[in-house]
Amino acid sequence: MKPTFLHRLALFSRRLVPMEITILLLLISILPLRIPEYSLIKPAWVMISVFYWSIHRPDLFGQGSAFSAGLLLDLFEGSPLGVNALIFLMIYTLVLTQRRFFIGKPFGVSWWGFSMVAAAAMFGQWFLVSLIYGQITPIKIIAFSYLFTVGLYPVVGWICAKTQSSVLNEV
Amino acid sequence: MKHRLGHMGELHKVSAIIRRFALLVLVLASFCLMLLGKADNVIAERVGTYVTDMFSVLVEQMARPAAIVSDVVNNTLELAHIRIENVKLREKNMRLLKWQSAARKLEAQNIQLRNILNFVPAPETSYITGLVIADTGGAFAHSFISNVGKAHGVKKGHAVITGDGLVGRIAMTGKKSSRILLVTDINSRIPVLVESTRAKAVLAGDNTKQPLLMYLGRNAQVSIGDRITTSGHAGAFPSGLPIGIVSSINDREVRVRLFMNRSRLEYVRIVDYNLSAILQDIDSDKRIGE
Repeated sequence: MKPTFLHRLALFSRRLVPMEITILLLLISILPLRIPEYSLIKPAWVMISVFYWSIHRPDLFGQGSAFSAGLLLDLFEGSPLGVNALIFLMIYTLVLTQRRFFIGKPFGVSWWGFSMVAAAAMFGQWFLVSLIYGQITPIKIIAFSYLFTVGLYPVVGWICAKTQSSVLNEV
Repeated sequence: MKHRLGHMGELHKVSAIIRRFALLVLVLASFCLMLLGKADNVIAERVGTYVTDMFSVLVEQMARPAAIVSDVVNNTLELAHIRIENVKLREKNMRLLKWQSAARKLEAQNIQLRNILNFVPAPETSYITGLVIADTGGAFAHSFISNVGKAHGVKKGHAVITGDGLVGRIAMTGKKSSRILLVTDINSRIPVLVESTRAKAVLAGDNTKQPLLMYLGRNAQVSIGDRITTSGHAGAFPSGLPIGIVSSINDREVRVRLFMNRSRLEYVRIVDYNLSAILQDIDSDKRIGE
């Protein structure tokens, strides 16, 4: 039986779910939560999503998606253009080579993997931003932000995993 | 079958090459963007403005429930201290009433003295009140997005204040949104004065909570607790806007604790001091003179 137009449309919109979740997390990350000190050491919400989808659905979240998620974040944050785009692209490429190692392993393994990748990625961000501004940006804040991000991984990872099992099973 | 498998293998190879090529293109694109952002901010700025404008309606809708949640939390916390707060406010009110009568007397005196001296008053200021709809800051940049833009009369360079003091300046304006660069951002440089000694300096953000006081004269005296205000130099801001107080001094650096409380910012006032209008007046005067 040939799939109907509506069926194909539904399938297509489901294929966009990883990118939609990433954009949603981006919007959540810029909500003015008015919690003291939160904005200074804000976690990298979008990075978690990029890492998760690169492991679990690289067919639906490709290089272009990682790059555009980074670029969108750069534009929103007003941080130097291209930095997040490059870093997310690097995360995607690196994770793709180690994908088999993570698939089917307990959650702790991917958490550990993320903590490694995020450390390298945030150091890379810090290095590039300092280079572009021509002055060293405070690394202490980045360290706190890193700890916050790693601590948030189970929550965001769980949301992504739930979405994957409920919406993306057939896609 | 073999032929088919071979065909598939070739396809696989081709797609791998394309993927690698795409990666190279995207990496190069990232570096080009970094150079573009560094060299020419106009294009990057326009695209950034366009994107924030596009998303601003959505972000504003999302910000409302977030505001409700934080309001409920804050209200509950405040409820516990309401009695003590009330006593404090009554005392403060008494004090302020005294100040009010003093201010009225001074105002009347001021008008009389101005009349005697034929004083030309400063141009009138206008305010635009905006809601902070996004806190786009992070470890690498400190900025907010407000829900007012060109359509409401906001222009790049306008000062942004709250009742406490200076928040920052408008860095980009879209049609219905604008980006506020906070004084703590690494790109923020503001000419300031140490209020008690009138020593000039520059307040430089470095992405931490307390910005640095730079380019202080060698003989300038600063002590902890000194008030820092805008100096009005370089024409960006009017003079006398309160910013903060000196919080720490050591051999290398002087830091300033800001009056504004970042985690409490909800509404901001964008101030147009009509400095551009004065400049236009001067220009037209020149032309008439010619």
